[in-house]
Amino acid sequence: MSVVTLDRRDSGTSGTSFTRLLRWLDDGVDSKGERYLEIRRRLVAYFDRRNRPAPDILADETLDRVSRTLEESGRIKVTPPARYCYVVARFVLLEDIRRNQREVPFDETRPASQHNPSANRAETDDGAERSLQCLTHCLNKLKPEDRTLIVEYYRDAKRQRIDRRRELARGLGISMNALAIRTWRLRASLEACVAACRNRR
Amino acid sequence: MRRRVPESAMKDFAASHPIDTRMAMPPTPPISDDHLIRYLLGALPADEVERLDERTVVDDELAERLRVVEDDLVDSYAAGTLTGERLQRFETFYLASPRRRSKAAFAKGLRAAIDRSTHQPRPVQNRATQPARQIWHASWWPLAAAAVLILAIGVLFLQNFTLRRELRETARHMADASQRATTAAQQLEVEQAATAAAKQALVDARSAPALAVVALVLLPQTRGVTSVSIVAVPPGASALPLNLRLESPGGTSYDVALRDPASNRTIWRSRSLAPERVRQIPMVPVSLPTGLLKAQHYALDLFELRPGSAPDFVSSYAFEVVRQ
Repeated sequence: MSVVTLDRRDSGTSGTSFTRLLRWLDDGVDSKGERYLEIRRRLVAYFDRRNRPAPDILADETLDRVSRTLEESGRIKVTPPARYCYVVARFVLLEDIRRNQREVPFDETRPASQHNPSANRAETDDGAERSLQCLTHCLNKLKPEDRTLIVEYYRDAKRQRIDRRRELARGLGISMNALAIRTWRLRASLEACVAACRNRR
Repeated sequence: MRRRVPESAMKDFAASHPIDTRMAMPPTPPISDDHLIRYLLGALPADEVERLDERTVVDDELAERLRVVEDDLVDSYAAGTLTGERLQRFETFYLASPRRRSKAAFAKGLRAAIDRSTHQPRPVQNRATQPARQIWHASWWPLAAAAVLILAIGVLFLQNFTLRRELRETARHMADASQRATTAAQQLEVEQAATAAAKQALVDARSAPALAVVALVLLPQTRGVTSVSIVAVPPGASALPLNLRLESPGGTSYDVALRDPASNRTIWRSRSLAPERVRQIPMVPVSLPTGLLKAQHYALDLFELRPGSAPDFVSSYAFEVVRQ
């Protein structure tokens, strides 16, 4: 069974409020925190698609507000809970847009001549090298069957790839859609592993 | 109490408010992968973007599908199979965010790692166990093994060199694309600022004529970032009358909390309010003290009051105050 780690270091939400939030998001089905992580992922993606510079912070702010409302009013009638989270997220988005219109980030006040593309390029080269090393390391940490699945799923191109995926799904006895979701989860765990590995190095 | 509110503000709100105020999601037609790709590449009209924004947070199935479609899109870019307008949009719109650039970099790395794992050279032991070994004299074996080893090291070195060169080219390509994306994003911001200024000027111009004595109707917020109602408060007004439309009538008593979304603090609370029917539509009338209102966004939280239990949150209503 996988263990879900919920990181709420920057949150102003107390332990009890957070438990109440988790229960409310679960909507009657105990997900052991998975639902919270899922809604947070969706909110981060929403803010990111809206090109906000700090989508993680905005997602946390959204969930903190929902938690405070739950704390104050005891209950939120809107269902499903994700819909209310979206309503609050829109407010958070509006405020962030408005705040950014008023503020000029310090970096933007620097002269443009200080920007050094060649230095960035060297950094990017190093970064790519590090990422590849981490990726190899993380791939090796996967269970053999998961590693085989992700390699087989993403190899080849276009037509061959579609055929290969169809064969994989048939072999596992699941639909193409279920296969896509299973590999997406593996890929997401790989991405997280690579990010953690890069931070360590 | 009814005070002056700009008639234009009410008309604008009624005309330009595309939000779905129902709590239940209406049946929606299936969304094609192509449509989702256009959403990811910023190629859909604003109202459709907002509709999908909501669904990608609320609808479990669509949220999962969108991730799969996004990964496939990013993989196509990593494989160099995106072309034409789609490639251009990917580089100018999609890569504008550091998080998405990182996804693209990951896809390139994953591709390189998978290519490497599917094109491994044959292990050295296999070569050493070829039938030829049987006809060699025993004393030649160390030499042959050394030769095979040198050959294998050479192959690996060449492969490593090629891979590193490809990686550097990929990284350079990414850096160029990201530079182009940054420039495009800056242009977009300038244009957005100009549009916002023009919009504000239009609001000011429209609110100049005579004011009508009506209450502005606010609808519950479900979607539509651009559809927040703008309320122009005339100088000298002491109260702002608003009617909050009820989606599910039934309560007999309500109260309203005025919240500053920036701090999420409740700055004013109404007394108990009774719902009314205005042209057969159930509404809760509320009058806000204008002295509290600054030029910014606000949220009104509506609670149903029941004897013996805590107030029950019903809905939230957003509006923006403009001072005349």
